[in-house]
Amino acid sequence: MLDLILNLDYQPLWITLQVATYTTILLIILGTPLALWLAKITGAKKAVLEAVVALPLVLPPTVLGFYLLVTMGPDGPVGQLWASMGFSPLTFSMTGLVIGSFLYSLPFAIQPLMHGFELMGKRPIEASASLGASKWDQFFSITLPLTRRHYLVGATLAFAHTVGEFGVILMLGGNIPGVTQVVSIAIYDHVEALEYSQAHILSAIMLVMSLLVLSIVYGVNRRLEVKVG
Amino acid sequence: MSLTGHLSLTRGGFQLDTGLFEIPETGLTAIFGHSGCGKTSFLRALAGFENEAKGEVVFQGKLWLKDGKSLPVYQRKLGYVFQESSLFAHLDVENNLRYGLKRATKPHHIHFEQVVEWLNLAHLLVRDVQTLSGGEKQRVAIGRALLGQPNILMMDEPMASLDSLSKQQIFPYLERLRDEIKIPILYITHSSDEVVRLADTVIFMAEGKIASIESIEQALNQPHSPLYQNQDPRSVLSAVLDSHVLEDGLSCLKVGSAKLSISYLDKAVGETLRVVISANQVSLMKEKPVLTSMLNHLPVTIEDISDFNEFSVLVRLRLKDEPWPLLAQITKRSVKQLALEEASEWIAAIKSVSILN
Repeated sequence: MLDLILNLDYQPLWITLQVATYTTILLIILGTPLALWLAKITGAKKAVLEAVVALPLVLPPTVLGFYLLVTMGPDGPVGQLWASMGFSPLTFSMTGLVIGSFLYSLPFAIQPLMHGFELMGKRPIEASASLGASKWDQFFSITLPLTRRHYLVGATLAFAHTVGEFGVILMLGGNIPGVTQVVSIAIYDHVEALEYSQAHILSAIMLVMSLLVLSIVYGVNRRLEVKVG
Repeated sequence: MSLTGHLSLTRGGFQLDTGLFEIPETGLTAIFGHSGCGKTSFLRALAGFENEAKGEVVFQGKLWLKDGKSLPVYQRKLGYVFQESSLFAHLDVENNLRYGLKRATKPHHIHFEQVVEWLNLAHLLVRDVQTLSGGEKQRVAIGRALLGQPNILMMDEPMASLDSLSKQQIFPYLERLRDEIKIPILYITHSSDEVVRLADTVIFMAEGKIASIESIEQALNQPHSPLYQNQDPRSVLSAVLDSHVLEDGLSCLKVGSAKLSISYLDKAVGETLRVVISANQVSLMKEKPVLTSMLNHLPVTIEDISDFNEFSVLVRLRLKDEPWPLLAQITKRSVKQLALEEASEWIAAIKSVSILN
């Protein structure tokens, strides 16, 4: 058993972690202006855009993955544009995985942020503007601290959702060990090959890690709650 | 010529269209009108919070709004106090107060210690803003706005959300503020009490329009002023406390060149006061009475006689050297019997006098 633990290929774990981290960072940075904008607009425009953002929630991951493969593949419009700029292909690469995960996990980051901005309202921003704070200053001194719990929730959900991703990655990244093989796919492969022990080890690691991360997040969230109310 | 321009704003079924306005450079200007008449929309548009507002605004020679171009609010150097205090929940009282101070250009003309003293905030500085009472929150919000070193202070019914006890407690702070800071203050209210106590100038608003902008004396001396909802017409005169007559328990006021006796007033000789005299407390007589319990009878000239209602008229009287008229409400029958006419001289007997503030 010890032998098995020592000789197991842990690269899928590392790749999963990398994809989830990059995706979460991108979602928080690019998701902020998007969520701010969505929180501000009203009417039919808002309804349509909210629906578009929420689409990955209802769409089967394979459908999303399929469309991404078609557009980002070497013959797809995005793939061709990408290639014409001199980059290596998006499909079956880490970059492709991050882009796919970004769209797949978008609602999980956007919705808590949007909710936070709507809850905060425009009043604190108006007050800080009247006190001489510029746009960036308003965001970093008021919006961010007042919605930090929503940032925590959004980042956690986006990260967790990306870690658990399977369908989109399988369609878009395939299953190249050491490059695009993430842990969920590795476990699936082990089970397919009837290597239950290996599947057990990876699954147990995922279980313990997930519990640990969530406990920390909920603990921090509770502390913020006590301070901000 | 401090704050001038015109503004319009359409939202839903509501239309704000101010027409040209000119708000004076000094003192407290009250924006008065019923709920829903557009006071808040007007002030918000003036401050630059309403992006859809059209028109032109110039403040102290600086363009705030013109041809759809709006100077960002954070560059306008204005202080704004909202109906609800809108303190920053993640900062304690001291850091709320210092928020604007940190961002203000130097030199600072309003200092931290000064504001803490004015608004009695010293014991609150380390508190979390959630633990403050409504009145305390508004005091912190006012202090925070002042420390931003504004060139104009805008207040949107700062007392609307307070109970009457908190209102009574915050009033002296507002009066002190008006007297001590040198910048213009715009103050929304639907309470005529607040206007009378605080304002130097009144902007009357109705149905999204500015009906008129008047000095407080002008406004108070119009019998049909919206400031008197269903109240009897009255005159407001400015007076100077002339002397105390302690043995009689009286104080003597100078109104124009006439003297008015009132019951003892605990104020210093030389102070300026506003005297309110209800029109139905004034009667006219030809000669100065020899024996009477009424203390005050002053020589006046009739300026104007106009109908007030079915059976009475309002007589506008002029005291010598007093810029504001004295009103008397008199029955039509008395007008006939006494043969009152314009430019004739009479004695006005005043039954009761009250003092504002």
